[in-house]
Amino acid sequence: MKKIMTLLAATALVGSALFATAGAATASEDGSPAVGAAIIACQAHLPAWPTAGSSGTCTNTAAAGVGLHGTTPATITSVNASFDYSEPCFLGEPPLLGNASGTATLGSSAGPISVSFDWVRVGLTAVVVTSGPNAGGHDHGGAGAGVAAFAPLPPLGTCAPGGSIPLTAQVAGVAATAGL
Amino acid sequence: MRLSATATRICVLLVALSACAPSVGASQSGATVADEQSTSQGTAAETSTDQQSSSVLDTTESAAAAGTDSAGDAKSKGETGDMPRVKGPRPADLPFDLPVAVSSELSPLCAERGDEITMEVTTEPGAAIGYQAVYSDNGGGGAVPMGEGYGGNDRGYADDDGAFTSSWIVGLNAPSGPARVDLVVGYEGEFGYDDPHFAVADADGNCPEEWLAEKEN
Repeated sequence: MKKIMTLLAATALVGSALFATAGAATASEDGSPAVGAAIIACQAHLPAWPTAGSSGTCTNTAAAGVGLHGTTPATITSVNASFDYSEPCFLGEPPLLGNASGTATLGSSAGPISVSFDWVRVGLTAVVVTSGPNAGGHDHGGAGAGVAAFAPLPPLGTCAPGGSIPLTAQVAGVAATAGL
Repeated sequence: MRLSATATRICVLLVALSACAPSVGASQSGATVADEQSTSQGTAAETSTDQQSSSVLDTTESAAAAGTDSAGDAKSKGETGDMPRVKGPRPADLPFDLPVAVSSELSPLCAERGDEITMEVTTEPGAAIGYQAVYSDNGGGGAVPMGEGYGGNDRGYADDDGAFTSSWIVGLNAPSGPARVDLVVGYEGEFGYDDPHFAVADADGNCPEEWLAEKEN
């Protein structure tokens, strides 16, 4: 796992355009631990921003990852996510913090893998934690974490009354799920 | 003539009132929004960490930045309230449990514009880390438009010993006064948070000591 984390960190450093809302690979047996890592990029679509609460999606831009699906290596090839989010802010100020919770579906050579995630954005960067990889209808133990970059595309809404508008943002990052 | 003069005075008064009315309404509306938001934030913070509750009441600068009349109200309340207030950024309001252990130290605590601040973080080995400095006007250190470009917004991973070091330059446009860092850590599916305090020195090179001491306590 340490090697995977090192690989991830190195990859993140090399590829500043890399991203991940969440990443993981799983084992094929019920309750078996999940080990894996992914570098993911997707485009987030937020119907209102900023807002105290809404639901959004993130559609695949690029994904690359490795992991074990049972004893079979699995290659992660895509990511799509849906989530609830909150980006509260104060009149006249940009939102400093944002949070989201949802599910990312990773396409892999061994079949789709679902990962639950929570997200906290601080400025233009975010920390993501993952849990509960599910592959082939089976839940697997494992929890992970990663960092991501959040790059909003203009125009941006404001915190003024009526200033919330749809937002598109590029999300890119890297995350790992540890075997537990 | 007397009736005409009286009518003129009434008209002038009405015109004056009608001219004032919209601005009064707008001001009250703005103040209401700011007050509601501040209350909401404060309520959440009061149920969160002790670090957050310490600056819950400080809405003065934020309200002033928002251009609302509540700035004056908040200030007067602060001056007459029972609790001592320290100006500074609003406390963070995170909806998640924050069980991951994390501690941090900043150096220097009192920085001049143009100084480099170094943050040393201690947490779990391999933990994911993101942070942003938040300044006295509630402006973020991240780049515009998500922040004000004052400096201090980055991410990374803790090493095998759980150590993470990062630094930034305090922007020449950063406002003086109390500031903090929103430091978020992710590890094995859970978050941790810390909010180390620092300050940007005023024109005389002074920093609010009570703000800096508040974190130490």
